[in-house]
Amino acid sequence: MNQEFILGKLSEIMKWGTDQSRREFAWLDLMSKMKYDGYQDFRAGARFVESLADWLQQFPTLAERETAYGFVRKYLVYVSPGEMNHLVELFFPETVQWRLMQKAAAQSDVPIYRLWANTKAAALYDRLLRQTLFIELSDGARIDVFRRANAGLVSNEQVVTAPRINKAKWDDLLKDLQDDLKDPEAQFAFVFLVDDFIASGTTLLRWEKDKNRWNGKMLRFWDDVEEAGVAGTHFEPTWVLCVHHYLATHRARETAEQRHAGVLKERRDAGQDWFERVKFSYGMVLPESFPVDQAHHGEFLKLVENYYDDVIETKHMKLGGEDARLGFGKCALPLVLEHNTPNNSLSLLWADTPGEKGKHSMRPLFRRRQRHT
Amino acid sequence: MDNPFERRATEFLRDDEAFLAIVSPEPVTFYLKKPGHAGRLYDRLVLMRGTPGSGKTTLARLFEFPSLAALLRNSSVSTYHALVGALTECGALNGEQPAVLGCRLPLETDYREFWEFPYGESLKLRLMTALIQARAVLGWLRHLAAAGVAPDNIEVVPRAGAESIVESIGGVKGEDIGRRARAVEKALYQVIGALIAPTEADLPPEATAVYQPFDIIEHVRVRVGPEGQKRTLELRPLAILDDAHVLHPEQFHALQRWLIRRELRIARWMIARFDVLLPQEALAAVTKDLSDAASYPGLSQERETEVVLLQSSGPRRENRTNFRRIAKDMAGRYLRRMPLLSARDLVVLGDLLSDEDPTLASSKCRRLREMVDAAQRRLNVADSSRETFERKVAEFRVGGRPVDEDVGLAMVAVMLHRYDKRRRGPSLFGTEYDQEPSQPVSANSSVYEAARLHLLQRFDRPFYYGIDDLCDASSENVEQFLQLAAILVETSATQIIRSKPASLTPTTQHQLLRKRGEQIIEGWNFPQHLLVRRLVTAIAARCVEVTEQPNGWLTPNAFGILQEDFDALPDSHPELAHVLQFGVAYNAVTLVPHYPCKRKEWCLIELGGMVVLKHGLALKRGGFVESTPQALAAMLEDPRP
Repeated sequence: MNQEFILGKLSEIMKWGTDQSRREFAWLDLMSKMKYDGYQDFRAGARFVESLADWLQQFPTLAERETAYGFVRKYLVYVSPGEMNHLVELFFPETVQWRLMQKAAAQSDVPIYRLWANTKAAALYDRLLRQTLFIELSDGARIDVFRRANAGLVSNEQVVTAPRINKAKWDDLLKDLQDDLKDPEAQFAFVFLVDDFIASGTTLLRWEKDKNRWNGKMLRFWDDVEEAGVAGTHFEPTWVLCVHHYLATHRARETAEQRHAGVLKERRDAGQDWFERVKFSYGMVLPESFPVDQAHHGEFLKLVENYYDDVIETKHMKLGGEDARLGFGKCALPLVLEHNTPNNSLSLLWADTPGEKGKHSMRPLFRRRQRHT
Repeated sequence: MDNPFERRATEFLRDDEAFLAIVSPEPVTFYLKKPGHAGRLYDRLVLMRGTPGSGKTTLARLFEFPSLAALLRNSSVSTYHALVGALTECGALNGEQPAVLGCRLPLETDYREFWEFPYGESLKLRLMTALIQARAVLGWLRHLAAAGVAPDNIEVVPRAGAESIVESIGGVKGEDIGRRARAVEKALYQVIGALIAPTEADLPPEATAVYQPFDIIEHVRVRVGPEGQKRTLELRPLAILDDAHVLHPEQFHALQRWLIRRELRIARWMIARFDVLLPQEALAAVTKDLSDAASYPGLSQERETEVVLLQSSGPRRENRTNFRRIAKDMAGRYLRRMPLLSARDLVVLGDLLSDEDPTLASSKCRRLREMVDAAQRRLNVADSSRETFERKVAEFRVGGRPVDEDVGLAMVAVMLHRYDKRRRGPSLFGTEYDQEPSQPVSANSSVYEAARLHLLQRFDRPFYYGIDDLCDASSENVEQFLQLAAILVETSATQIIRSKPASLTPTTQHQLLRKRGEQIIEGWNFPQHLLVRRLVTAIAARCVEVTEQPNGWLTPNAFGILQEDFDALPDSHPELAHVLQFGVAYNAVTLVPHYPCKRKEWCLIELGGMVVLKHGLALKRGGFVESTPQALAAMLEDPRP
C-alpha cells in the first residue's frame, strides 16, 4: 500500500494537526524502517503503519485511540534481529567461557587471571570446552547464529538442534567427543540447554495439578537422559546442567530457580534422582517494573479489558491460568520479538479473533503465529 | 519520507553523480570565478576559510578529479551545463577536458600526531609534509586509475631545472612515482603508528630521505583514449588540504608557511574554519576581508596567497542577493530528490512558501484600533493630523499594493508618536494650535517595518515568511538555510500526505522558523558557546527594547562600536575578542566593519539569523544600537552561564 496514503489515513484516524502529524510521521517512518517493518509476520503492503492504522480503527473513540497509540509510542518494547543476535553472540564469551574458566582454574588450582598463562590450565579449558554440549530447547534458540558466531571455537558435533535426543544420537555424540579428544574414557562435563526467551517459567518447569506431577522442558530432558540410560555412561560424575535464556523477565528468573529447588527437594524426598548441579543464566533480564500495571497504565488496561475475546483461552493457554487478557501466565508484557510476539504479551497486541457469539473481535497489531493450535 | 534537507554533508554521498546532482554552480561562480579566471587559484596558496556548513568541503570535492571526470562524462545532461560552465570559468575545465588533477586530503587523521613527537620543529614539519606529499601523489594516481588511465600512460613533467633531482621522487613514470610514494607513506605510517616514538636515529631512511614532489612536479601528462586514438592531456596537480583547523596552531602556521613558497609549482589549497586563528587574525580576516595579515620574511601576503572567504563579508547587498540565488538553486536540487514533492512538480521552494500578507483577527484589529485611539488622545494629536497620517498610509505602496488594515493602523500609531516627538510635545492652547514639525512625518518603509515589528511583538502577527525571508534568516550559510528549510519542506510534505495544500501559510512558516531558530541556538555546543549565547541574548534583549519604542525610530539587530575601539579589542578586551571570534566562526554574529554613520566609522556586531528569529527582530540590515567594548564586556560578566 502507498505509505503516504496510509499515513494520511492514520492522521485522520488520530485527528492530528499538521504539526503533530509531522512529528508522528517522522517517528513512524524512522521506527518502521529501523524496527517494526522487520516483523516476520508482516507482509508486503501490510507492514507496521498499515497494521497500526487497522489496529487503532477497532477503538471507536478518539480517547481510546490516543491511549492505544500512546502505549505503542512510549512503552512497547520491540526486540529486533540485531539485538537478539547480539545477545546470542554474547552467550559464549559472557557465559560459557566464564563458566568453563571457573572450573578449569579451580581444578588446576590457579587464580582465574592466570589461566591463559598456565599451559596445563589452558589445556584443561580446551578439553572442558570440547566436553560441553549445546542443546536448543526450541527453534527460537538461534543455534545457527550461535554456531556461526563461534565457528572455530565450538565444533558442529557439540551442537544439537533437537531438544529430544535418542540413545543412538547420545552414542554418536559421545563417540565424536572421544575421537576428538583421543580419549576413550572422555565424557561430557557441561550441557547447555539454550532458548531465546523465558517469561513465566511455565514451559521450563511447572506443577500440573490435574496430573499431580511436575512437567516442562527440563523434566522432559531428564526423562530422555534416564530413558536412554546415559546418565552414568556419557557424563562425568560432576557434570553440570546449564540453562541459558537470551532474554528473561525478572519474574521468570525467580520462578525458574524456585521451581528447580522445589523439584529437587520433592524428588529427593521421594527417593528419586534429579539434576544435582544446575546453573541458570540469562543474556538480559527485563526489570521487575517492566510488566504493565494498573498504577502506570490504567487507561490502556481498560482497553485490554473492554476489547477482550475469551475465545483465545485454549487448553494450552489455560496452562498459564484461566484468563489470557494479560497474556499467558498473566505476564502483562509490552513486548514483541521480531520472529513472533510472545503469548505472554498483552493479548490486545497479538490476539486475532472473529468476534463470534456477541464477543468483541480482536484485531492484532503484531499478528502472532500460534505454536499450539 | 526521506528529507534530504536534513543531511547536507556531501561526504555521505559516495557516488559522484549523486553528489553532482545536488551541487549548485552558484557558489563556484561567486567565490571562485574571479580568482579562477585570473589564474590565481592555481599558481599560489589559496586559503579558503569559512564557518561549518559554509560549503568548504563541497567546493573541495567538486574540484577533485573524479568529480570533474563524472561531470564531463555527463556533460550532455542539461542539469550539469551550469556546473560545467562555472568550472570552466574557474579554469578547472578547459573545453571538454579537465585542466586540473585535484585530490582532497582531509587533515583530520594522522597529521596532528607529528606535533606530539619529541623531535625538532623542522624535522616534525618535514615528516608531516612528506606524508602529505606522498598521499597527494597517491591520490592523484588513484584518481587517474579510477578514470581508466593506466600507470604507463602517466608521466610527470618536472619544473625547469629540477630534472636532476627527479630521481628523489622515483623518476617521471607514473608507476615509479607511485612506488616511491607508497614506500614513503609506509615508512611514515610506521612512525605515526609506533607505540613509542622512535629516536631520530632510528627513523626509517625512507621517512627522512629527501622527498619533495611538490617542489619538483610542474604538470602531470596523461595519455587518454582508446588505443590508436590516444591524446595527451596536461593536468595541473592540485592538492586540497581540507579541515586544516584540526592541526596544532603552530603546525598550521608552519604548514601554511611551507605551502606559500613561490617555487612550488603545483596548485595547493588550504581549507580551514576560523577556530585555528588567533582572535586578532580571525577578527581581522572578516573585517579586512584578508586573513593572516602577518607576513613572513621575504614574502608579501597579498601577492603570495589568495584568500577565499566563504563567509558573509564584503559587499553586503551583493552577498545577500547572491546567497538568495544559491539557496533557491540548491533548494530546487534537493526538492527534486523528494519523490513526494517532485512527483507533483513541486521543485521550487518559493512555491511552497506563501508570502501573501497575513491579517490580524477582527478582535485583535479592534483592540489595535482602540490602542491607536488611546495613543492619539494621550498624545493630544488633532483629528486633522491623524487624518493626514491615515491618508498618507492609504497612499503608501509595498510592491505596488496598499498595506492591510492592521499594518495601516500600526503605521498610524508609529506616525503619531513620531509626530509627537518632532513637535516637542502638545500645544498648551489645544490641538488646533499644534505646530507642524519642521520635518514632516511621512509614511515610508521605515514606518512600515517598525509597524510590522510592533505587530509581531504585540500580537504575534507573522513576520518571517516567504522564500526571501528564509534566505535572509540563514546568515548566508548554506547549512543553516537547509536546517531552516528542512522543517518547512517536511511540513509541506506532511500537508500533502494529509490531502491539504502543499503551500504553507505565513503563520505556519513564521512559527516553524522561530521555533527552529530557538532549537538551533539551544543546540550550540561549539567552544565558548555559553558566553556567545549570553552575549547575543543580551544584545538581542536591548534590540527588542529599542524596537518596541512606539515611534519606531530604529529597528536594530546589531550593536555598533567605534571601529578604532573594535580594532583594539584583542588587546583591550581579549576575552570579548575570543568570544566574538567564535560567535563569528559559528554564525551567531556577523561583523560589519567600517560602517559609516553620523560621520563616524563603526564596526557592527550584527546578530545571526537564528538569534534574530528567536527574539523577533528585523531581518533588514543597518539598524544598530550604539555601544562600547566596555558595555559588551559587561554582558559577559556575572552571573556566568
